[in-house]
Order: sequence, then C-alpha cells, then structure tokens
Amino acid sequence: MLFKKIIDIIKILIFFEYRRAIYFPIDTITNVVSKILYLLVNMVFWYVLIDSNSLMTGWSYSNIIVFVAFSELFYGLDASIFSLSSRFWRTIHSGQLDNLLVRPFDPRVRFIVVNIDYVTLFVTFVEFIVLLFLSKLMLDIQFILLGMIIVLLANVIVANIRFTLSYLCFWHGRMDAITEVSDSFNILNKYPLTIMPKSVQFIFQFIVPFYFFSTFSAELVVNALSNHEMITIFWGLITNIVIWTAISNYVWKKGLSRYESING
Amino acid sequence: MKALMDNYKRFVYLTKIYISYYRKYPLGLFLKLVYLPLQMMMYVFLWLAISENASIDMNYIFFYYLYATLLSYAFPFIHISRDIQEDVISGRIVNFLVRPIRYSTPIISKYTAWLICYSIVYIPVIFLSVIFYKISILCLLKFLALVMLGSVIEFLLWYNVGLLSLKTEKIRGVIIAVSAFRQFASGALIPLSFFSSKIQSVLNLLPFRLYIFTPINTLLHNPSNENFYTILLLCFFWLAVLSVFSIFQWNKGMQSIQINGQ
Repeated sequence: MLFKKIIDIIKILIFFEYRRAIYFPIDTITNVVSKILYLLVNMVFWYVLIDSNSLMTGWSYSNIIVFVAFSELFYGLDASIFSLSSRFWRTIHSGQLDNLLVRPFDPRVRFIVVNIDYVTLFVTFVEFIVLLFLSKLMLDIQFILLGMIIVLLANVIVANIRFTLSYLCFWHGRMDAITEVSDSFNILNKYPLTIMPKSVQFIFQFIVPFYFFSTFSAELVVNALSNHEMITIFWGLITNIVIWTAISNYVWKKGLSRYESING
Repeated sequence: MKALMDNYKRFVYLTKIYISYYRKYPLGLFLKLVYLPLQMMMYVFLWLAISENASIDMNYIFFYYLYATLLSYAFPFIHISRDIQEDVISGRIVNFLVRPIRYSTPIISKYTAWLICYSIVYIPVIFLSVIFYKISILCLLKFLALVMLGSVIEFLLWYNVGLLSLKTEKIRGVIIAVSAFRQFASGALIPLSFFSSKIQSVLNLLPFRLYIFTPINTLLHNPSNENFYTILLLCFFWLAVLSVFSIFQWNKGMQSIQINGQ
C-alpha cells in the first residue's frame, strides 16, 4: 500500500519535472551539459596524471575509469535523491514538520521522495553505463549489479548520518553548519581510498561508510580483492547499516518526543 | 563624484555590519578549519601514493594544495550567482531600482566582510610557509597583491554568471558548468604546470587561473619582475572586461525584466 503511494507520488513528480524542463529549456540543457562537463574535467584530471606517468600502484587507467564510473554513480544518486537529507533540519526548524507528521507517510521518506531530481538520475545512469564501456574491460555483470547495490546502500547510510545530524536541530535549533560539514563527506569520493593508511581504511570500512562510496565497488568489479578481503569488508558494510540505522532512528524518536513546533 | 563617494560610504558601513554579523556567528569560520584538513588529507595521501611511481616534489605539492584549498573554499562563490538568480525569480532585484543604493553594493560588502574575517585563517598558513618553504617577503607581497586582484576577478566572474538570470531566469546548469570548468582551468584540481604547453597557453589567456594558480605559483616559484608585471596587466585587462560586461548585462536586463514573483 505504502509502495503504491510512493509510486503514485513519483508519477506526479515526473510529470512536474517534465513540465519544468519544457518551461526552462535552456536551464535543462545547460544542466545536462554541465554534468557531462564535470565528468570530462574528472577524466582530464586522471588523463593528465597518466600523461605524466603518475598513477597509483594497482590502478591502471581502465581501472580508474571503472572507479570514476562508480564515483559518478554515487555523486549522481546523492545529488538526485539523498543530498537534501542534510537540510532536513530546516523542515524541523520552520515547523513544516507538522504537515508531514499528520500525513500517512514517514516524514523522512516523503521528504526524500518529493525532492528527487529525475533528470540528474537519468543522466547519472547514462554516464555510468558509458564509462563502463569506455573502460574497455570485460566486466562481470553480476559484480556490476552488486557494485551498484553497494553504492546505493552507501548513499542510504550517508543519508542516515545526515538525517541524524539534522535531528540535532530538535535540541540546538538552526543547523547551517551541519549542512556544510555533512556535504563535505563527498570529498571522500574523489579518489580511491586505497591511498589511505590501513588504519584509516579500517575506520572508513567499519565506523563510517566512506569506503563504500565507490572504492569497494570498483575493487569488486576489477577483481582487485581476495575472497577474505571481500568478506571482511562486507561485514564492515553490514556493521555500518546496522549502526547508523539504529542511531538515526533512536535520535529521531528522542528528538520527536521533545518537538514543540515552535515556528509552526 | 558625490554619488560615488556616497556609494563608497554605504559600502564601508555595510561591510562593518557584515563583519559584526560574521563575528557573532563564528561557527561558519571554524567549520572551515574542520573542512580544510579533510580536503588536505585527501590531496596529501593521493600525491603520496602517486609519488611512489613518479618523482614529485612533495614539499611543493603540499604548499600548493594548502593555498589552493584555502583560496577555493575562501567563499561559497556559487552563492553569489545563486542569490542573484533567486532575487531575479522572486522579483526582489527591482526593489533596488527605487533604493538609494546599487544592487551590487550589499553583495560586494558581504563578500569583502567575509574575506576580511577569513583572512585570520591565512595567518598561520603564511607563517608555516615562510618557515618551511623559505618564502621571501617580496614574494609574499606579490602573492597578496595578486590574491586581492584575483578575488575581485573571481567575484566579477560569478556576479556576471548570476546576471545571466536576467536573460534566462534559471541558471542552475550554467552555474554547475562554470564551476566544473573553473575547477579545471583555475588549477584548483591539479597544478596547471602538469598540463601540456598547448593547453597551458590557452588557459593562460582565461581569467580562471588568476585567482588560484597565478598567485600560488608566484609565491612558490617567484617569477621575474617582468613576468609579474605581465600578470598584473592581464589582471587589469580582465577586471575591465568583466566590469564592462556586468554593467552591460545589468542595463540590458533592466530594460526587459518582467516581474511575476512576489
């Protein structure tokens, strides 16, 4: 039932997005072009490093393209679906949460669903597929699908962290600073995190989910991991999901119990 | 002349107000101190990993990215354009036609006030680089002069992007496109000296490098006086071009603007 409601809302929103694209054609076109430009800049960065014989051990140019594909997938999913989770505090602070609480939907799910950017989502998947082709590697489709699921899960975990930080608004009011801090997580998606020392990698695998942004998926797809490493890191993913879902729900319930809708 | 002086007084007054505002909410400034080390950590580990296979002057790379990160994140430049876009869509921009103050004055004041507050972050970095990179006072002065000119150029660039909304209303795509190209052409992503000479000669003509690569390169490589004067000339050229273009866009936009918002 809930799933059907989400689908119905998504249908309406896709129609709105289509109308918006028609109403602002130049903006829509430049938006798509800008995403391609961003990708090109990223590729040029790695190309310049290759050109000056400056690559990292274990990462050939083809492997790097696979990494960039997953990195773009993470950025794209984040930008089109999850990034606004760091601004959820505004909904709480302004009292708009009242409207969401009386609806037959979890306010957090509704907040995410209503703010999906479908054009970005579409362009992201096109970019992802094109990049995998450009890598010219024989890739296993099952590992690619697994990698995509891992990236999606990493997005969900990060959204949970951002929501948790947003909930601090229940206690401390305005949270502009938190928005900036949680948006800065995206830096950790720029380069393969294998460049970090082992101890930092461990933290990024078991305490915070940065390793799953794109590094783990790329390593899986290019067969850069042994079975033992793969299973260990998977445990890290499960640990992150459990810990951050629990923390997020706990803080949400605690925060709601003291919500007074001061601005509503 | 009197109108110019009046505008200057308003600018100074507004700048003081914004400085007081930023001092009252210092969290934004301190957050930069959390954000910058995170960014630096990524660059340092990346280049350390690369240096295993290539000969790279890590001292140069460290100081280059230290300053590049400081300058890149000195101000949320995108917000300049985004705020103008919102003013155009909401119609707030036309309020300035009947106010005794130019539309650009509060925006410039806000920018100047933040840069003044932010300069406190520079002091330890400059101290660090004078000790460890053995930078001369003359280089430092050249760097400061170029950073000041570069920051005005950077402001004008984003101001011009924002004014495009007078023509097209929504400029989200343009902002992202300019931001992407700026990352590449300014040297924020990778020092421009890593590019081939052909690409460098094209990028040298554009204004993007004048805020990041040019000042940092002057600081770390100390170019000859002749080169320095050429850079100064280029800075003034772009200042003039961007100023004239912003006036043109404003006048053209005000002739055709229709407000359907608030």
